Amino acid sequence: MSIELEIFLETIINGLTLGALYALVTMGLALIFGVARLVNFAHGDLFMIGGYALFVLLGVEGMELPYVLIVPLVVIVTMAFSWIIERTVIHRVINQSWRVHAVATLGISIVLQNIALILFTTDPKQTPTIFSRQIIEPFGVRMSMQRVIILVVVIVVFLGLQYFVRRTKLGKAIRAVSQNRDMCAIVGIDVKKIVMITFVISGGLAGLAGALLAPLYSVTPMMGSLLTLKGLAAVVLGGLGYINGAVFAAFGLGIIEALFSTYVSFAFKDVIVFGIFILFLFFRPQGIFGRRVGL
Amino acid sequence: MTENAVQSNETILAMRNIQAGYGDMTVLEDVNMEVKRGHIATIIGANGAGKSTLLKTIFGLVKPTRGSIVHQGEDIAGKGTLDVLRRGITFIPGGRANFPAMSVQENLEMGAYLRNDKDQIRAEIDQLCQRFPLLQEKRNTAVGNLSGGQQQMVEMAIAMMLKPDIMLIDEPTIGLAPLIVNEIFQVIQEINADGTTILLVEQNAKRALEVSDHGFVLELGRIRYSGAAEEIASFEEVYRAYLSER
Repeated sequence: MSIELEIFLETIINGLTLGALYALVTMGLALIFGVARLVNFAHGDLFMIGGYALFVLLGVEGMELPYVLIVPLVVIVTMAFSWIIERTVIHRVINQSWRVHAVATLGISIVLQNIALILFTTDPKQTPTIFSRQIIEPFGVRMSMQRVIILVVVIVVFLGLQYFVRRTKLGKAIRAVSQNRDMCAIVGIDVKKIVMITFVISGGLAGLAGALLAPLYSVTPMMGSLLTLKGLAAVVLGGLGYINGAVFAAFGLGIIEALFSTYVSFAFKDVIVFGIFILFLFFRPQGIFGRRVGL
Repeated sequence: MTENAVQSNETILAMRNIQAGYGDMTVLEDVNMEVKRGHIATIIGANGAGKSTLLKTIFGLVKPTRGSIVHQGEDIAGKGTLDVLRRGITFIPGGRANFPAMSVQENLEMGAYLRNDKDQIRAEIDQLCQRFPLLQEKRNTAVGNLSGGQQQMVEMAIAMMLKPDIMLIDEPTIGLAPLIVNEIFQVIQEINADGTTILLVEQNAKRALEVSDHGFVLELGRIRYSGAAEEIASFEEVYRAYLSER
């Protein structure tokens, strides 16, 4: 295999991994936006909590929990944080305007980042696992096992989420709330309870993303800020509140970002993502797939 | 007017001195009315008379500031919609009352959201689909892709999924073609023939009184006339105001 082709394939794999990360973050953002019309600026901070939860759980002395057991624990921890955030702030502002939503979630974001700063300082925390250290070379392309795991987990989660919202009673109720809130009272669906459950699921997805990605990079208090904005870009590109569209857009952005980093400029890789986002806002604000009614 | 097997003189729903509105605005003033079990009762009145508010007050969407709403001996005034639903009172509001991106099947399942008897729900959806061929034909179609009349049929089927004692229906024929209007009234009569008491708000007063047992005329938030539907239709003043072709 030529070196150019090898570099290209490695770039595509990096792009797919990055896209998978954006997809996990975006699924949660799209879910809560679809159900509650809430743009959650603190979503990336739940991702950060996932990273720190992984760091803490990996470091518990004397226990040496296996990574595959730690990941679900991290998801539970972030779901618990999401539940507390929903009960203390979100449910109080959920029926207010988007401006109130923005201020409230930005406030949560600032609080969470500062708590992380106090507890862990600005020093990047490393969370290597056996999978992030293990390099495989399928068809001569080098990649860490962690990247393969991320891709597989994201595909499984995406299919699981599809099954959940299409086949289960709770999932259908989530879709119902996203489509016609007034009608929910008519058939007895408790909208506030569904919003709470959706927020917790959404937080769990962010936590999962944190637990999967932290071993490849490092954990810092601000790691979620940029991710929130990129996730929101994918939500808009996919068509607000349309999960499948957002996931498609997330993978697209991941691949474009990786190609741009390799062949144009690594330093300006974020410019391309937000450049595409701005172009869409100008020329196709309804997103790639157009407007849809609910999830 | 049709007679069904469970019609009786028993009062299933009674409103006493109901006052209700939105914020400082009072819409209903001292409303008194009784609905008999198994009847179709129609409320007619001009736009803004408070007809829809009356149904919303019974269903718990609007809290009355005074008075009582007695359902089977218990005052339900001010109770939440969930309590009212659990008592067997369902509501089909005006406008589109469905989940547009969900299929007919899923909409019917949502109608049974408060029930947990999964197999029974499935069997009842099958029965409904056999009874109303349109539901069977469009079972997997998103409701938002159906015509207005078809959506109205689905909405009535949604309300039937809780096997209600009383069905409150707000303007079911608004904006529909005359042929479809007839079908809607036929379905209402069929639902009533199964024993469900119907309280209907309808702009098409003439047609509504034809299928009703009892009629109420609501004017400026008060019941002006109440009586057998044929009697109401024969009042000169009612005829001129609501029934004559203008």
